[in-house]
Parts: sequence; C-alpha cells; structure tokens
Amino acid sequence: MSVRHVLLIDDEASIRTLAKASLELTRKWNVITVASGQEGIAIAQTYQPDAILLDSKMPKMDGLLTLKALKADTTTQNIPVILLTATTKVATQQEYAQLGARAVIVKPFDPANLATQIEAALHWET
Amino acid sequence: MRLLLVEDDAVLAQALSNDLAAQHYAIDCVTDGETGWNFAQAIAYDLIVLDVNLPKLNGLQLCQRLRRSGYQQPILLLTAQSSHTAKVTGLDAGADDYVVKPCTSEELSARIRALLRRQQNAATPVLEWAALCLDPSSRRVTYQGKLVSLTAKEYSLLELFLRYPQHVFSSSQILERLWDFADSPGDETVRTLIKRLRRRLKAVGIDAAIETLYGQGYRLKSPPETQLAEQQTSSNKGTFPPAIAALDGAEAALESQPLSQPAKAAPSPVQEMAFAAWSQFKEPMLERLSLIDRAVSLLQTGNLPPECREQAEQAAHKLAGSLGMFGFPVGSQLSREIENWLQADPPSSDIAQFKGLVDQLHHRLQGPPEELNSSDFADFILLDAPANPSSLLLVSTDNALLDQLQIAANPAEIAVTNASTIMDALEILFDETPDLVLVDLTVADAFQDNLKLLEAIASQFPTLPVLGLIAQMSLPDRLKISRCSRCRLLEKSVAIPDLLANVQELLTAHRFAKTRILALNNDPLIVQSLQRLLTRWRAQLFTLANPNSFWDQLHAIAPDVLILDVELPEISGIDLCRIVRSDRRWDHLPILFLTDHQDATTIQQILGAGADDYLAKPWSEVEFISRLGNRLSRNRLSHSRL
Repeated sequence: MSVRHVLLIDDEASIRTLAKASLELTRKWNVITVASGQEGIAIAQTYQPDAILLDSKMPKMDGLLTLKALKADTTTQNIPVILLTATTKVATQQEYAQLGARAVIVKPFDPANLATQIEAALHWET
Repeated sequence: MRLLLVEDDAVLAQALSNDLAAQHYAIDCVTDGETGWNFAQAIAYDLIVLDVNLPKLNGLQLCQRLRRSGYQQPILLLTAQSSHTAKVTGLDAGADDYVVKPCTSEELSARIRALLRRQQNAATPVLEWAALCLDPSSRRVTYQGKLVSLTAKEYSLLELFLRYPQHVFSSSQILERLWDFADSPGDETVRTLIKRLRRRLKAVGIDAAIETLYGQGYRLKSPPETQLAEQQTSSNKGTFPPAIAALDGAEAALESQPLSQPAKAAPSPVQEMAFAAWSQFKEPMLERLSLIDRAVSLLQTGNLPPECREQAEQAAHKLAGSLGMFGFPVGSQLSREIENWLQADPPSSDIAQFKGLVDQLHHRLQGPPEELNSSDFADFILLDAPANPSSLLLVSTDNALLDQLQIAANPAEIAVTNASTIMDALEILFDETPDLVLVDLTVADAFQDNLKLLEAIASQFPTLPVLGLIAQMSLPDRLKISRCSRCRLLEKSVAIPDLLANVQELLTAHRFAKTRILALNNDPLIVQSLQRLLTRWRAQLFTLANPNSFWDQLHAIAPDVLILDVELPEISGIDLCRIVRSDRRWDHLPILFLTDHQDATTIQQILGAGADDYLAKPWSEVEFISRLGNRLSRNRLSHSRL
C-alpha cells in the first residue's frame, strides 16, 4: 500500500505534535501540519493530501468555514475531511455531514488508535 | 544553541547577532518586549539576552514575566545603566547576569558561555564524553587528544548533546535549537545532520554515540565505561535490552523495537511518545490552567469580567480536548466540567464547586501521566456520505425513451443507465445498485424475462423501488406482475414529466435517506460492513463502540433505529436496551440486535429487554435490509395511526 498523505489543520500545537507523531509512528504516513484554516486551504490545494483532519474550533476561520471553503474549491472538494472536535454536541454534526465531512473524531483522541479511526472512517485498506 | 536577542537598537542588534552567529549560535533578534515574550513562548531558547530599555514591555518587566511563567533558562540583561541599584533591580527581576554596554563581543560571549555552563551544572568549561572533549571557548573538538574536524552545524549539534547528556531531543527541538527563524529547514535536514555527525564520530573511532529513540528523538548515549557498568548491573538481572543505537531514522528503530525491547512492561512506542510530548507541552498546559486560576480569584472577589471568563473557558476547552492524550483522562473530564461550569446560563453561583474542580485538576496534573487506555477515549462518529445524484436503471430496448428520459432526468439530478437485457440489468443491479429500476414491460417477447427480473429484484433487493411501463395490459398480466413484484405500473404513453414525477415520488418514499441509524458495536468489521451497506442504501449511520457517551448521543442523534450488540464494554447491550425502554421518549424506537449468540436464553433476554428483532451472525445483506425495512415501516405505520 502506498504511503498516505494527511494534512492536519489545528491551532493547538500539542495536538499537531501528538497527532503527527502518532500517525508517523503507527503508520509511517506523511503528515503535514498547519495552524490555521487559511494555511490549510492553501496547502491542500497544492499538496493534495489523501485526507484532511480539521479542528472545529479555531480563531478567525473555524472548522466549519474551512470545510465550506475546501468543499467550494474544485481542487480540494474531493479530499475527504474528518473533523476533530472537543465538543460532544451533535447539533453541528449534521451541518458537517451536509457539507460533506466524513466523520468526527472526538478530542481527546487516543494517539494509539488515531490511524485506525481514520482508516475505518475512510474505508482505507489496512 | 539557540539564543533570543531582544534589543531595539537596530545597529547594535545586527552587530551582536553577527558576532554570535559567527560563534555558531542560532540567533533570533526582535526589537520590542512584547515580541520577545511571544518568541520566548513559542521557542525553547537556551538563553535570552535582554536590553533593559525596550518599547512596549521593558526588559525588567519581560524578565519578571518570563520567570513567573516558569522560564528557567538563563537571562542576560544588557544595559547602559551601570549603577549598583540598576544591577540589583535587574538581578531581582530574575536575570542571571548583567552586562553593561558598551561591552566587547568577547565579554558578552564569555558571559553567555558561563551562563550556559552554569545551566549544565558543570564546573569545567570543557564538555567531555569519554575521551571526546569539546571546548566552547576555542570551539575545538578533540578525541584522545586528536582534533576532530566538524562543520559549524555538526559542532553545534554535538555541543547540544554534550550540554544535555541525558536529554532526548526530537527533530523539531533540534531544529529549534540550531536554526533561527530566517533559516529553518525540515526534519529531513536533522536526520542528515545526525547521520553526518555519526559518520564524523565513527571516523575517529567513536561508534554509536548517538542513539535514536523511536518516536522521541535522539540522545547521547552514556560513555562506554558507564555503559559497561550499566550492562554488568543489568545483565545480572537478565533484563538488559540490546542497544538500538546507530540506527538512522525512526523507521529503522521501529523495525528493531519488537526485538530489542523486552516484551513485558515496556511502554508502547506511542505511550513513550505521549509521555515525551507531555514533558514538551506541560508548561503551556499549566499556563492555560493559570488563566482558570485567575478566573477563580476574580470570582472570589465577585467580579469576573466577561473577557476573563471567555479566556478561562477557552483554556478549559483546550485542556479538555488535549489532556487525555497525554495520559490525563481525568484531567480532560475535569476540564470539561470546568468549561461547562463557565458556560452555564444563567451563570452558576456555586464558586466553591468551581474552585473544587480547579483544585482537583491541579492535583491531577501534579502527578505523572497514566498509561493510555483505549476505553478512556470516545469513539469516532461516522457521518453520512454527501448526497450523490440518484440513479435510475432503465431496462428497455427503446432508445427514444432512453434519450427523452436522460434529458428530462438530468436537471433533477437523476443519472439514467440503460440495460437492454435481463443479464445486463442484473449485472448493474449487483455491481452498483441503482436507486430505482424502471422496466419496460411493453415488449411481448421479453415479458417472461422481465417477470423473472422483477422476481429477482423482489427477492434480492426487497426495498428497491420498481416502476413498470405497460401498454394496455390484461388483468391476468397485471396479476402475474403483482404476484412477483410490488412494482408500480404506469402506461407507457404517460408524458415524460409525469413519469419523472412518479420516479421522484418513489425515490423519496422508499429511500432510507432520512433514516438515522445509531449502531453500538465494538467490532470494527461489523461497523465497516454496516457503513458500507447502509451508505449504499442512503441511510445515515452513527456508530459508537463504547456505551459511555450513549445516552447523550441518543438524545442528540435522535435515531430512527437503534442497532445493538449484546456484548459491549462496561454495559451490555441488553442492559442498554432496558434503559432505553424505561424512558417514555424512546418507547417506540425500533431496536434491532446483531448478535453472535443464537441460544434460546440470550434470544429470550434480548426480546425480554424490549428489542424488536434480532439477527444472528452470519447474516446476509438482504436479510438485514429486509428486517430493517420491516422495522421501519411498521414503526412508521404505528406512528401514523397514533
């Protein structure tokens, strides 16, 4: 199986570090991390990752706005997006689903199982 | 070594930066106190040089703030004021040393070396590792008295390892220490640099001095004689792990890990990585906690301004979302409770409760992190796939009808595919089940074949809507059709818009599209197959592997059907079923069990707990969809009668 390329968009440095290390450690995926929605969109356009992990709560441009922008852009609309959120409220889940997000991973996530969750959510072969 | 220079005199700052860079320090230079504070927050500097008179935040204030935030590395103050009082004030503010301008760059460098040495708690200015010596003042490296030739970056890396002999440096930490912002390369450069340094050391006879710790980074090993002593002690206990040194890159270490680590008691690489990350992020986490502490103090004085409440709330939110990953699951829970308390509307007045939560969080974070346990984490939630255009399979040899239908269906986002034979139709049905089948029954020769097709659809795809186009058909023919299929019949002469209206009505009526299904199952294979299957049927599936958050999710999702497994962690599916049935709001919720057990006792328990149906493994897709469809239609029927 070819190496997966994942883009992580999260303003929280600890999450970026831990998620990147976890995915690189458990699956040797290539993980690029950025701290804002704007950067994330720009990277997604050029890097064309296999999946985007997107934090829901970020300053300036939150996960929802970023998701909308990604889905509105023809170069990024087909990249599967998984939301990372610390809130367990499901009201916004429907909104994410309508915008085309594939799954929600609840923070704090299990670093040992993050890759497994992504694989299951996106039906990636393991 | 990476230094921060905060100096507003641009000329002096440039000169000092050049001098220090020439000595192979990585220098970031900023011109005001606020920016200095921000840089110091973002980067782990080995030493900070501060001018006293700075705009925005002066050097003394910045020094105090840094010390209050827990910054422990040396701070050197640089100022034109040479009075005794000024020096005392500076040192009282938390500075380690004081240099009066104008000073020579030699003096400044010597003070910096002395402070870095002090930090290392070494009396000797020469750093040593067995017979390897590094003299920071002359920048010479020797091994057994012979000069070791190193490039500037190799030298800096070796100096870093020698100054912190027990410390594990991640690639990003090495990047931070050795390069400044203006010239910051990627992890690959670090790997190359490590490789080069190892090669240089090996060339003079030092083998495997730098070890790779998988998932954490690189560390200078103990000198050979210490290793020998450790080896002897450990081998007596029979637990000495073979060294995993001299492996370039984490990948090689990963491969060696299972062999080189004792199977028992060794923390998993992910565990080690999480612990290492905690040591890296503990301070920023505690800073967040200090925002909550401030909220406690302000609440106790009776005045918590909205902006402070919001900051504390955001801090609690971030802590709730991250502490669990570092081995503080209780810390995450407490933070969530703190966040909820701060969000309460109307605001809670129980300050003692709030303070109690914050105290517990402090207490928890003072202890070491726990081992990660997957049951402490919530499961991910699958969202339904974005709506695709509906698909219609036309089984007909009438090309004119196909053309007309395709043109009319396109704006309605219905994709039309065509099959001219029953075999083609079956192939399409099994490969990519359409949302509706339209069968042309007007061709007399093909009537029997088409009946067989309708039979096959009814048995294999029982919920798939079917529309039949007929000419003026006799009653016996209608009877034949109605016996093998529940398809709706329309005369072929119907106008295309009317035909399309019928198609859309059936699509809407029969699709599971709005069906919300919540499935609790901790078998990833079952979850995957449910997801695949239900996505095909356009149902909206929500899955949970762990019943911890079940009750909240049940209310939030408000499913149309609940699918339970008998065996779930902590609470059994049967108990959950009873809980659901004991609440009036969920009395009518269809509950279907998927189970491994077929024994009469379990089945009795399942049905006795209030479940509507059960399916024992192995179950087929047809059976599952059929049972699910039955359950839904009965439920809808019973609701419509209420």
